[in-house]
Amino acid sequence: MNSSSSSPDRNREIVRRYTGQPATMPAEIRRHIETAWGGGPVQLYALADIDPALKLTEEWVAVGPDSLALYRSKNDGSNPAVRIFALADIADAKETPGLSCTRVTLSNRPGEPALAEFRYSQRQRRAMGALLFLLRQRIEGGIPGPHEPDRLYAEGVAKPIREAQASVAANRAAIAWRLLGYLKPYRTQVILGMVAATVMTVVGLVPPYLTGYIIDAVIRPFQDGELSQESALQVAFVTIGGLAAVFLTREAMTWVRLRKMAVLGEHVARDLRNDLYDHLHKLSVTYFSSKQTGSIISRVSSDTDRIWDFIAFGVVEVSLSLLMLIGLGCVLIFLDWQLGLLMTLPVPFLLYMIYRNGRGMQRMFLRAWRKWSNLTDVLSDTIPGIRVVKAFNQESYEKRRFGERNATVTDEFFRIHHRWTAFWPFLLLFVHAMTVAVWFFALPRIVGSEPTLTAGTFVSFLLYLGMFFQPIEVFGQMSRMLNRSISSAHRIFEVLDTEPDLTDKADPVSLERVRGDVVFDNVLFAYDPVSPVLKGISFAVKPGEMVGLVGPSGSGKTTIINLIARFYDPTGGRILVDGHDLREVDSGRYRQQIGMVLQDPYLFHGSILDNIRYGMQDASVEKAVGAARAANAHDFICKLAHGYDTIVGERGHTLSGGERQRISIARAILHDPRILILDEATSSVDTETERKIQEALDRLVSGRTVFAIAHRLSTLTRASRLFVVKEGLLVEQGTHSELLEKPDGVYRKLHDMQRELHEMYAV
Amino acid sequence: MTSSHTPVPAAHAGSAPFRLRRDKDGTVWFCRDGAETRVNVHLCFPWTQPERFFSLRDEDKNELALVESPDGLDAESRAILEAMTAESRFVFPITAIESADPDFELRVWKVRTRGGPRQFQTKLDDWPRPLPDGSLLLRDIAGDLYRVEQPEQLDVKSRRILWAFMD
Repeated sequence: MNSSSSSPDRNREIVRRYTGQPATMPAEIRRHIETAWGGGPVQLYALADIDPALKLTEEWVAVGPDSLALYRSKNDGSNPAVRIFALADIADAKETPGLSCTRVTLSNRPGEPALAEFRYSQRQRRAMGALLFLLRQRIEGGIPGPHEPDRLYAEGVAKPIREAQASVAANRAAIAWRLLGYLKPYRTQVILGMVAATVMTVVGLVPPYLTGYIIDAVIRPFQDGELSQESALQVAFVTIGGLAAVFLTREAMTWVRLRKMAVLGEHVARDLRNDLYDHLHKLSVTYFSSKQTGSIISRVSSDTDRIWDFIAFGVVEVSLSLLMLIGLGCVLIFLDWQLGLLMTLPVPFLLYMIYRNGRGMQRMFLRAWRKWSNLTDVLSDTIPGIRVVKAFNQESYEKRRFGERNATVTDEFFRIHHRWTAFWPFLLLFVHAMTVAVWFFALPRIVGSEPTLTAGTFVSFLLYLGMFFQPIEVFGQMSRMLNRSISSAHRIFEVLDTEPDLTDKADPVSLERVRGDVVFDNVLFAYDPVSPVLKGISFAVKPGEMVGLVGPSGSGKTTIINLIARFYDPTGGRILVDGHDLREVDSGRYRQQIGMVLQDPYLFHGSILDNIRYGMQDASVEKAVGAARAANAHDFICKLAHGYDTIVGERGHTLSGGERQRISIARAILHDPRILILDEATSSVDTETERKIQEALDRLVSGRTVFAIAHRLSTLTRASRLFVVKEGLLVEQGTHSELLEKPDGVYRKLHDMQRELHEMYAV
Repeated sequence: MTSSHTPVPAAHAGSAPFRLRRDKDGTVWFCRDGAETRVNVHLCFPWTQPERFFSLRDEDKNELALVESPDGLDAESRAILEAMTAESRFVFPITAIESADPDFELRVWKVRTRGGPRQFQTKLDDWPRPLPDGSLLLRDIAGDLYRVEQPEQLDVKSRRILWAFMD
């Protein structure tokens, strides 16, 4: 089971939107096939999208209860051809893989002409893999067919896209709208902030008007002798007072706006971080293994930070700039419609030029980004591999490689600088040309025999003209910031929209104290339909038993313990613990009683005491020390300068692998698990450390059900039984000595091989 | 299926003479010293030495022979080898690019290939790989490969889109 299985609609949408191929087999084709093979349902299908001439085509391959069908939609418009093959006639389905084209040959008997051939691209690999897996099972007389062909097909085709981008991208407006939904709890602050911003913008339009008014109503009449000094000063002081009030109001509103929106941005960023982190803990290990750690961390940190930009400045600046532009246009046309139109009509052209420039700059940045990544590739190659560089005396080569790429990157940045340094003066020149045009048309009207424009209005115009450019510039600058914020929001919503693989049923069984009776009943498991990992495993383990899991790498051992810990649910069969199907139990309560000691133990940043008490924060110090003693860790801990208070983990004190392992064993001992899982717990330590760990493990395992994986078979001699797993099957089980008695047994071979290696190494 | 054939032991891999034989069902057999094994071909240098160095391997991927140059093979074997490699080295040849636009985490390419129009996605920071012959190789997120054989021969719009991805 995986996340996609619970979101078939999303998978279909992804297939439709991103591949251009049908999201399901068309109903007409399905009917045609089912009629052709006699009525049974299509159980699984896939698309063979390459024809024998290596052209793109659409050929459906379907498997039913007894038949396989090939349905080709012919390109020449004639009737489509359907070919039916009885499954009983198909002896082999051989795949010949290529770089982008895999050929499948269906044959009856070796040497006879093939029954049919079809080809598919990598895009169809998963869906086709599932179909061929089913087909081969049928050929071997195996499992019955699944009954969700649409889901499996869409899931297979959508998977690589979904792994790169978990959700179907909505349009930017929808994402911005959803983001704004996070403002709902803070309505009052939003309203205050927006009102303040609006007042700030509107009053910003007043000073140029007052300037014009002073000239026309005070200065000029006074100079012309139409106004007494006393009256002029009176009007002037009132106007100055008005101007002061305007500035005061404006800055007060600026303060309210900045404060409200900045704090609001932090609220929203905090809420998103909390939602995101809470949701991450609901997701299963599958999600984390399919995503890079850095990508997940950046969503919680830098992406939420960019949202602050969006809320604090983006929303307000863009809406205010729009308001300012409209307001300016209206005021100017109101003052003088001819000059007003002269200034407002070129604005769309200016905005278009900014847009075009932005597109061109995007291409340049893309090219520079690519070259930049070439440069950082050298760094990420050579810094971690510096010992190899030095050992092969390649410093000169690496310096030259870096120098060349550095020069190329610099050239690209030169190109970018040439462009923007040319564009903005050009744009300003255009704006200045508008200013000149205003002068050109305005002055004759002022100094004409019958003036139609006052000096005050003209000055107001010039001042408004200065303000005109600011919102246009904001549009140019904000578009990049808004794009980045919306992309960040998309990355955050993508995680929030990922549905958890595993969810407890509504009324789960709470296992208060697990006895440790574990049963695997014909368990099947596959991470994807192409490669089943467990192919029907059955066993029963009694409470207190220690079971060793052995087998070659990739045989399915780790999958078994992951299923016992319920990191995944089986895709077939069931796992019973104390008689309860694991899918029915409260997984939180159950996992509290599971302990794991892994090959590479993980210590969190914090003190050693914190690490031992992880999951049992209330445990007493005495109990923690007792657990450390039992884990053979107390001795080395006390030798550290800060003892149990030593900070370990990221950027903390460095401990050896064996020391970290013993701390993790102490953690497990304190946890007192009913089922204990040991995964290669002693694989990477020296002999003396292994002895100490083994002693600690002996204390830990007693009285619990234990599943232990170890490649070094000698470490499993204490196991009550050994399960030998190979290619997803439980091929042998018994005690160490029982298994050694099987001369051709897998365990015997592994054991002999290890003994020979040991002897060779010893020699 | 090798049940009716004596398989060539992988341990015999080397320069001993062999020949290739194709069955009616299309299966290709590697024949040496009276033994036969089903064989697949793997290209060792698909981009830098596409006509040389073919690794012939059995179904368990054990190498049966390394063909440095097909010139040394008999005519029938050479023809079989060429037919085998034609499909295995197939990648989608791009003849025009209609768009390559970012879609959040992905870059969506809409292209025309010799086999027909196709839409695919790459990760935003996955760049086309320049090959020694001047062509460009793109790998989409599903693993399919696309090749622009002569980027400078594309139409103006395609070249304009590709400009950001070329040196």
